[in-house]
Amino acid sequence: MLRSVYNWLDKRLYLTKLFRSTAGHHVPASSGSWFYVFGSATLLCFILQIITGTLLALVYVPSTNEAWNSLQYLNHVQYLGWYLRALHNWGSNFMVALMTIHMVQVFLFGAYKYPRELTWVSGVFLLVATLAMAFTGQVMRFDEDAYWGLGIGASITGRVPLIGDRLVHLLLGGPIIAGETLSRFFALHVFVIPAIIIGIVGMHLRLVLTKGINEYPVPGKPVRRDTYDGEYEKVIEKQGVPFVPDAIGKDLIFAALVLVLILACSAIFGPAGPSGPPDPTRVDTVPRPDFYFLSVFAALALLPDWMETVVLFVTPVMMVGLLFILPFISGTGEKSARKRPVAVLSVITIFLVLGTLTYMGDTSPWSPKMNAWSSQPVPVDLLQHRTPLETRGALVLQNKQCRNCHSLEGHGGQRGPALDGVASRLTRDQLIRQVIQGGGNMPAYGKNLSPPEVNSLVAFMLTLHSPSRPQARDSAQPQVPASKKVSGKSQ
Amino acid sequence: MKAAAFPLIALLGLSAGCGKPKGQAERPQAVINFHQLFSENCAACHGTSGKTGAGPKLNDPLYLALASREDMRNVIENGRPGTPMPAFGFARGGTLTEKQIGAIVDGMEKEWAKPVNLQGATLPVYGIAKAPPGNARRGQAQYMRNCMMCHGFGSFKGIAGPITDPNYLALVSNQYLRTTAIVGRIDWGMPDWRHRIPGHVMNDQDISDVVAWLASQRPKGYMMAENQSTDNSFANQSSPDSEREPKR
Repeated sequence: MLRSVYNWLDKRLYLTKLFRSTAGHHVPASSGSWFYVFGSATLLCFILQIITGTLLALVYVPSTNEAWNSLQYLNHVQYLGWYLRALHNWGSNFMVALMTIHMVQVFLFGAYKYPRELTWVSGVFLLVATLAMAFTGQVMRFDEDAYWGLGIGASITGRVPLIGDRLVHLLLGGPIIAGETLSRFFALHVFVIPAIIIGIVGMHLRLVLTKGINEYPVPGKPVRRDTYDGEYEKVIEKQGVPFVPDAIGKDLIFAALVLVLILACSAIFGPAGPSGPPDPTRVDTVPRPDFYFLSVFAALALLPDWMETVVLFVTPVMMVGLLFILPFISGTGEKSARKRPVAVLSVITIFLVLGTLTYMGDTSPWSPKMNAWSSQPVPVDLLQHRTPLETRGALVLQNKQCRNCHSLEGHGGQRGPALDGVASRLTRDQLIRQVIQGGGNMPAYGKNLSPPEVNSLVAFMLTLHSPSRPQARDSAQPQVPASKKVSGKSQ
Repeated sequence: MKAAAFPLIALLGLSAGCGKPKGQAERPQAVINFHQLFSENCAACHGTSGKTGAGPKLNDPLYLALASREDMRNVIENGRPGTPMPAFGFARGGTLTEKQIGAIVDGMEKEWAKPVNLQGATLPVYGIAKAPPGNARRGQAQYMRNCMMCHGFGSFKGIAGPITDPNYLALVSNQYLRTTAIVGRIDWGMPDWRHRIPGHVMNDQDISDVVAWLASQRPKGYMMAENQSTDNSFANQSSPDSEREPKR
């Protein structure tokens, strides 16, 4: 009975044929490797995102007034609503991470080379689309991070020559972040970009089917345009195995592992935010972009002014452009990473740069800590055995907000040099001059401090040196013991 | 068995709900938790738990018995002009609402105030406006008797360092001098008004006199606001300035 139903359906839908040409197609046995599981895991994440995203959309209200509240509702009122948000958040983290690993693997295994150039190019499109999903998803959270992230995105867009204003208008649905902005990003995040991704994934998978999976690279067997196709056919003939059920085993095990990890991370670490409400009148916010954009955030913060426009518009175009043309400039030759030192070094360099920038973006030592002056106590050991004047100086240090940029024993801003041991670097006169006139990146405080304030502040700073390193002294007034003088002269 | 560990961890995490968000982000003006308010706004100068800071010790039953809630509200809201104590009140350009200032005062009273055993002594008056007017000349004698051993005089610096330094005096209000003369700085080793000399307790008048003398040592042009509003009593009776002028 069942068989006859299946046969009836098969005659009309060609199911068996479809299975043979897709899931059952033959792949090189060598590609059934643990290195080849990341692509399918990324796809799994994407499917999970569609499911959790659909469920979130049932509750989420894409309006500037309601979005933040509807997320609070999910977090605190809706049963397991927080877990749903966590799943969507961790799904996106894993998707970006696995996609990156997949891309690095494809690059190091030379899988982008002839004849799979378009597989790579479609993959680069997917990279851009996935990052766009991550950015628009961050906006969906519509908290202060989202608000300022949008503001930065818009001001970057506004710098595009000639059509900048119009682009901003298109992006935000007006000249400023307002009612329509969130609707636009909702439409992008939920309809436009996912549709594009589904389309490109289809193409990506079709190319995998038609052009075959890259065989495990062997050092010393370079790709040649004229011979490769024949060689690959032979490999499939000799050691080909059907993808289902033979080669899919490791993919399934890894997919299960990823799924469990996402479930566990969501349960243990929970959802991201939302942080404070998106209110531009709140000045005491410390907005941060999500993990994937911290490196960009750091790079933009550290750039000198004059380089900004160049780096903003030339670098991304160059980097994505380089990715696009990669298979066309190195489409043949060695595939194995063992014979491609430049490729390996490039990957290491790129990840070192991204890693460092991400770390810097996370700590952002260039921003003053705006609340350090009122919340970071002067360490108690720096106040012991001080005269009343020196103690007053410590209060002036706090009150004039020196701590927002200068740290004491590691607490406080890192914009300026730490003040521990400042007395062994600067003499009294130098300290006074620095406070009054500023210099380096420090503003001049001469007009904001009365002479007694300067005197007490400097009196306190003169106590800031370790016992093993004496106070700095004026070289014009040497007060060195005779024994040391002699050794100094002999040098 | 090993593979089963992962779902187990996930289940455990879920049942514990350790990822569940604790509370929503609050607007800064909505915070009325004393400990959070104190650590964000006061701890930097007054010390982590109100003591061993560079500024006055607030975690001090004696101080809390001396100053009224209204006094403390007033200082937090308006600050002490001329000193490092800024105004925290919204109306004065600060960041705290009246409710938050109330929460800080309530918190200090609730956490730190304790009944004080005065050991027979009477607590002097807190505000300089209500204190008996001081006499600078008598104040110098009181200084020599009660303060000089630690704070020195002239070329003798004392173990605690001089408080007659004009830079120091320019940055402290008379109210601060009076309060410190009464409650001392127990956390830094300065005794209160009862325990400076064995068997001798400074009285209200002694304290006013010492403050008057210290104020007379202050360079001109500092702490003018306080002198104008509250120290007129000095000028009317035995102005420290008029006494000092002929000496110069």
